[in-house]
Amino acid sequence: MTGFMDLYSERDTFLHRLDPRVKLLAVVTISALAFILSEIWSLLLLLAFILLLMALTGSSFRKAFFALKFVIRFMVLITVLWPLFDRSGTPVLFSIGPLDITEPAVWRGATSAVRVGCFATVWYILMFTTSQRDLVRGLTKLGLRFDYGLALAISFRFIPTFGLTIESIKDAQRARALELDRGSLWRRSKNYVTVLVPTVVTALRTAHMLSLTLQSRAYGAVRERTYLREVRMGPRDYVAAAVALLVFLLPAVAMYHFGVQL
Amino acid sequence: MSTEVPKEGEERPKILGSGDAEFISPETVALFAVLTALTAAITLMTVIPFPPTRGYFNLGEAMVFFSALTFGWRAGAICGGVGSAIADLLGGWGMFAPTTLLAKGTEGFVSGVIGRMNGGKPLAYVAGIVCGGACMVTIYFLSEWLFLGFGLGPAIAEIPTNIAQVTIGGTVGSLLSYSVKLAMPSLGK
Repeated sequence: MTGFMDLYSERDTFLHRLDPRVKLLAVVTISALAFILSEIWSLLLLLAFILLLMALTGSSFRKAFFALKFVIRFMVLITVLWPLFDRSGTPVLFSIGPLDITEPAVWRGATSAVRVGCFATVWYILMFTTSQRDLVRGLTKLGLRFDYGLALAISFRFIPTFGLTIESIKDAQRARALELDRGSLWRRSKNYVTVLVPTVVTALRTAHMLSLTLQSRAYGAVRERTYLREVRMGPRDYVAAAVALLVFLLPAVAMYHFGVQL
Repeated sequence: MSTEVPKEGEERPKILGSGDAEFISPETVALFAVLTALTAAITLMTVIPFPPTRGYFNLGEAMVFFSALTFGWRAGAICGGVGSAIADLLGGWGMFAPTTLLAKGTEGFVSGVIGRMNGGKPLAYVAGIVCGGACMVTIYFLSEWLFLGFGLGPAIAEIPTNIAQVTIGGTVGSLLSYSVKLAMPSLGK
């Protein structure tokens, strides 16, 4: 099974208790900061800060490793490929055939690799500490209409179910001598159709049942919704939101108003 | 038993099923939720191990095209975009989620609009898939190059993978749409 890992883990750190809206804001501001920074040292500092936050989420080593494996693969790819396409600047470090590898290009490659590392890791802070329920709740608080929020919450709930459906149909078709692991990519994909058709038909039947269930539970009966779990901004959340904004604003003002190279 | 008819100008009780268009209908909520979940699940589960593409190759594309071609552009844009973005979030590559939302959403929208022209003839299917796929590849390329700052090289290196994914996803998606319509004739009307 090439399945996925539930990134969220139930803990009681201050990051878990934060309002999901604040965490979304922090993801946006930190990404924006990574976007405007241009010096490798400040980007490394930012990456270290994000990794510190990631350590504070108290997630298991296995999850952190899963996350970082992906990020590091990307960073290496960028560091290696960048100088091959960017041949400006001097001095030339060495040449491979017609390609000149120049020193500024290598630095630029490393810088963007670190920047991409920041973009990638900042999402793990959100995903490690926010349950799917809170995420949807945060989005509805931000103005997503509740019917779309409901659809989103239902779909989160059904992803593992359909994952299991796919697995069992795959096994059933394998028992009928379907080959999914051999042959060319094209052949494998075409063989997958025999798995996907039953899956989709099953899912659409589920959708039919689901709509009956929604109707029987008085979906949309009243215009004003009440919620079992209310998300409220406490003083701590306002402080965290202010910090998240300052993390972006201070370097931005320093760069664009005072002309500091960061 | 007498049913009270609300008088002119009187506020009607807000109950669904009385022609109140305040909410999207429960059928739509259920269908969109299921299609979104299916897109995400298939994206996460059917990663076809294939060495040259570092294992990113998946059939999620097929579900985007399937939703768009079977249920129209709205389903394609919402379910394709949101489902693929959720798969990115859960799969652990959250930095692609905004790009994916835009790219796959546009893909679903375009292939839904073009692919269902002329009553969904095969030619329209092909045109829809080609145009939608072109949008997706372009948006991914531009976003990786300019916004995420991958640089030109890695962004170009992604293009062949994406094109292969669209080609295979489009074929599988249209086959799916055709077979599922055969299995459930009441669909997509």
